[in-house]
Amino acid sequence: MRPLAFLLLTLICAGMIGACGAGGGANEAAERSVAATTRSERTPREASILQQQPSQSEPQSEIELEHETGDTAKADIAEAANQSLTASSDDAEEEAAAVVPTEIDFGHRQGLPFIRNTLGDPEAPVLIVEYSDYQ
Amino acid sequence: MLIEEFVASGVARYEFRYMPVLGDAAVFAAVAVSCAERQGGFWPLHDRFMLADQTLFTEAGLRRQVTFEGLDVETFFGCVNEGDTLSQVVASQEEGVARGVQATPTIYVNDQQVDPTYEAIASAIQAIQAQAEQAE
Repeated sequence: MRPLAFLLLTLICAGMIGACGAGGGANEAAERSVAATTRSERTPREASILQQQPSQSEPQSEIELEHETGDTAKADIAEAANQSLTASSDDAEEEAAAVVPTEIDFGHRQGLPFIRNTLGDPEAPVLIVEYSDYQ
Repeated sequence: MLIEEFVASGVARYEFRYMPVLGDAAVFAAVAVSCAERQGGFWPLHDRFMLADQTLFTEAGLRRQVTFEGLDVETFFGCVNEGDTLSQVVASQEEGVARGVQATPTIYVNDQQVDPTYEAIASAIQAIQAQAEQAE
């Protein structure tokens, strides 16, 4: 991969994410988009919120929602919606193939079952969902 | 730790959802991790990005990491360069916004939003356990 392509993807992502905050991409995105930005920077942290010890907390990054209108935003949203549609069949096939949990074979989570981005026993009665990002 | 206390014990399962709001790098990282996810390599790369490993934002560093993880490097970079999983990341973020996520990290325990602290999460899980025991 050329470094230029690597940088280009980052820039593409930056353009696309301006359209991704609007509720419902393909259905509701005709007139507006929501750009999610942050007001605060975070300090380096543990690998996950799940690795917190008691009384260990971190600052949250607040999301600022800005509404945009115009042809650029519409084009971005249409492109995102198109990508969602073309990706859907692939995603369905992958989901069908990934319903059986496998075990992590090394590191601090060794032995824990996982399915894609979900860790732990699929039959566990409690579901913890974390919405977060990478810095 | 929560992972040992509740996930390893089988009480809870944990799901990470992409909510890249910290800028271009966060979006790129989410795309990269979701590309690794396609090959079953979500957790190692997720952990490295969560630890703010800046080497992953170079081609050489990322290549080294996915090679170490045993992923198909060419498939991985093809996915990243084409932005194949961008729609997945966007969908995750849209879902979060629709659900009322206003900051990161935001935690839900059985659909109940709780503070992102050990005490709050543990308390919520213990309350659910207590309710279940009472119901039995």
